[in-house]
Amino acid sequence: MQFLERAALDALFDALRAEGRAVLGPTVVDGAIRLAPIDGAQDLPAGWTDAQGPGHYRLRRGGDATFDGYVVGPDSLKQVFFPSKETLYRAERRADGKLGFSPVLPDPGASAVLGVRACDLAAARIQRAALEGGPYAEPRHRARREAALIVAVNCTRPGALCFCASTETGPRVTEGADLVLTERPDGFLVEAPTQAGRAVLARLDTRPAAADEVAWVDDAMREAAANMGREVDLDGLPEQLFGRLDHARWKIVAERCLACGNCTSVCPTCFCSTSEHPSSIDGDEASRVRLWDSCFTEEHAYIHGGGFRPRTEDRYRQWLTHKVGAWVAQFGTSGCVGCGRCIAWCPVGIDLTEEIAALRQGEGIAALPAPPAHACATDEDLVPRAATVTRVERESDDVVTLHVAVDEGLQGVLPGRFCQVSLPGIGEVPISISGGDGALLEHTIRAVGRATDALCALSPGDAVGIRGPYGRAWPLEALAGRPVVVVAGGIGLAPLRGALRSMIARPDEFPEVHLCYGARSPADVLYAKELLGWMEVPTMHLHLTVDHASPAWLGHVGVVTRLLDARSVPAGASAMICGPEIMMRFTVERLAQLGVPDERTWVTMERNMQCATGFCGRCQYGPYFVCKDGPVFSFDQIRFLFGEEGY
Amino acid sequence: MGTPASADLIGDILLFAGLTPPMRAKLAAIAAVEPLPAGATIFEEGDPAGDLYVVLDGRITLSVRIPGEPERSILSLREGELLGWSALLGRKRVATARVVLPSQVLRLRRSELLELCEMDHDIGYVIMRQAFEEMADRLLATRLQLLDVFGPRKR
Ligand SMILES: Cc1cc2nc3c(=O)[nH]c(=O)nc-3n(C[C@H](O)[C@H](O)[C@H](O)COP(=O)(O)OP(=O)(O)OC[C@H]3O[C@@H](n4cnc5c(N)ncnc54)[C@H](O)[C@@H]3O)c2cc1C
Ligand code: SF4
Ligand code: FES
Repeated sequence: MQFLERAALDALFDALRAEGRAVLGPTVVDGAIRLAPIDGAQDLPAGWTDAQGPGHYRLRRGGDATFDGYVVGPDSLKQVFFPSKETLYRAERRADGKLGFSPVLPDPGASAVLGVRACDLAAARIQRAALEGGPYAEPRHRARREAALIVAVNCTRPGALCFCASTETGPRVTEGADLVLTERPDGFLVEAPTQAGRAVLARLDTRPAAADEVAWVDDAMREAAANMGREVDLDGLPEQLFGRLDHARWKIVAERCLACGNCTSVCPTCFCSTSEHPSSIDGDEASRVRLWDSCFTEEHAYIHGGGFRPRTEDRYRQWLTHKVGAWVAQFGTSGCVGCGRCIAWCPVGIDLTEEIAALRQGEGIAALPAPPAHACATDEDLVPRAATVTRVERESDDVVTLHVAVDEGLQGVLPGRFCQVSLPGIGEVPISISGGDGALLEHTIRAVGRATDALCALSPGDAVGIRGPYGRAWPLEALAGRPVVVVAGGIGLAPLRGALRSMIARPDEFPEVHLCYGARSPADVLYAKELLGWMEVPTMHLHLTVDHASPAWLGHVGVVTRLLDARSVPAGASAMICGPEIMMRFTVERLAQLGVPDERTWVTMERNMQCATGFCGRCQYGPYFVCKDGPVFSFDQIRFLFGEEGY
Repeated sequence: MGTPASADLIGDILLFAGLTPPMRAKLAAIAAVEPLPAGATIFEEGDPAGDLYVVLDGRITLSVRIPGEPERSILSLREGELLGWSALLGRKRVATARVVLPSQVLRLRRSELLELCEMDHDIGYVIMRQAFEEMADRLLATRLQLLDVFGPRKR
């Protein structure tokens, strides 16, 4: 540990600039301490103090400390590594009619961020887990993070809303910093845990710290930990929250919550995002822009036809059960770092420490399954590949199957997985692989909204963008050797078609396959020709029903669950289900009555998706991300949440 | 019409699994097996209460008339399912039953069935209970149909 004179602080700026680093640090902007470019010690908020309380943040003059008079303002490293708005790629229509996609990747010059607190370094670690932890890594986030040198500050005077001692993320800096300062009236004690930090330190005129100075730091940290304004008990909390989805407190807090999303904006770990597709007036150039998003918005849980979380209580519950609940299963750590920002910046002063304490009072414990671990992290720049529609088959009046040739070919095309299919200026949507291989994909699409309408209107020769495939495939290996019952509702047959084709092609492994398929009406039956052909296949047993028909229809009429009986569900069978969630709910119940256990029942889930790679947070489903842990789940993985209202 | 039903045949019907052999014999005495050709109409919406049927094989659909629209099939019945439950309550037929595939039905004569149920409450209980189970299943299925799970059609 070294000692740096207070008067020598400017030398630190010089040292950082000498390395070509742009310096960001705390400075007073519009009545708050923000993170912004600063030139020297004179820009730091020396002599300022912040008074924080629920729904309250005020700066006033007081004291003469440089860092110690205040704690965290609304900004955190999140702004630095993960800007609130950024372009991901540009698309242009080339002269030959094809689409050209070019990634927009940042070229961050070397930077230094000054005055970062322990809680924010913990938050940066957590954001890194979300954005770089696998199976995909966001290269933009990594580039910015790697370009930054962190000069952290130990908090000796925690604020009224601080509780990092109870989240074990402070007040002492123990991770993520290159230099750590601890402020004393006469100057700063400086530690340099990394090589990069030591290089900067070497440029400064310091002296070794005396033994009593080193001991003082330890004492100051102990005292700070004992002086937290608030505390929270995270022990066993995920299991409690998921066991108390019906707790009365959700309604009570929802009466105050405005669903404004301020809490998620200031939270240093919240990482949800959405995207937009601006385009030039002539439509020749377009881009995809990523923006911060909040689980408090209606769009967050929107899928065509409605949203999963219509009420404020659903959204607050989503936020909290994720932040301090599911997060633990997903990333091995709580998403709360004890910074208190969400309390200060909530316009109505909702205090999550109070909410957590209230929710702990209650009954109910749920075991939270851990999602599958993702061992490696492949770079994923989120840029589509150019592809061309080669054939269009009309399946019904609102469904078409597109055959798409992808210029460079795709790896890992398996039934159950999906691609992000895009049209510049219009949108990118998740569409299951309904057939094909790495060179030629089949996507069966129902026109329900902006992007799917446009996709269904394409003709052979038209250009589209494809990225993927993503997600988990149907576990055909695990299903082999037993009878298989496939239950499909409506467009839900699309992700199952490839699996059915594979099972038909492997009769030794799949000697008895029952397809129970329900469509709205005879005219809505997909793949009619192919189904007719399957009736001739000895291993394949087709049970088809429609919701209603004219009396001329000779087939079954009624919902698909009515097809499930001892004839279509042989003893020892496994099941694969895809369809509207409510249909899947009744199907699972019926199958259970017929003796199919949850662990041999496989379902596909649908949630709003923007990224398909785990970055955007839109597809959260309890401890899972539908995009990377699903969309195919065994029912015992999701039983504890499935069908829960508002989830 | 049809051939008399045997107690054995009654015993093979899942619906009547709860009946003892003597009960089966009593039921057989008021039942007949009837073959029905495709295209036949068993009863029509609005007809007065009539006999109760159990589908033995084939396929029969129930359809309803919606003013101003073509008739619509809303449910098909197959082997083992009950047809015409309104017989048990003395109500008018609520749907039209049409034979779409050549079928066989077990026909239980209404007045004798009701009499039997009145005289032998054990039989009555089994039959009412089975009818109730079927109703519950159909109610659930109807709910799903009403929910229009495939999502609103746009055009
Ligand atoms: C894993 C997965 C596989 C899918 N496979 C198919 C398929 O094979 N065929 C098919 O027709 N549909 C499929 N869908 C549904 C399809 O993605 C939506 O119908 C589509 O996103 C609607 O977009 P839109 O712009 O036309 O509609 P809008 O209602 O205008 O939607 C606006 C935006 O909301 C989001 N969104 C809306 N509905 C959904 C949804 N159901 N799922 C996810 N995000 C949604 C999208 O970001 C969309 O761009 C799948 C969805 C998922 C999650
Ligand atoms: S908790 Fe507060 S900040 Fe968060 S959405 Fe509700 S009102 Fe807004
Ligand atoms: S996290 Fe973005 S779609 Fe799953």
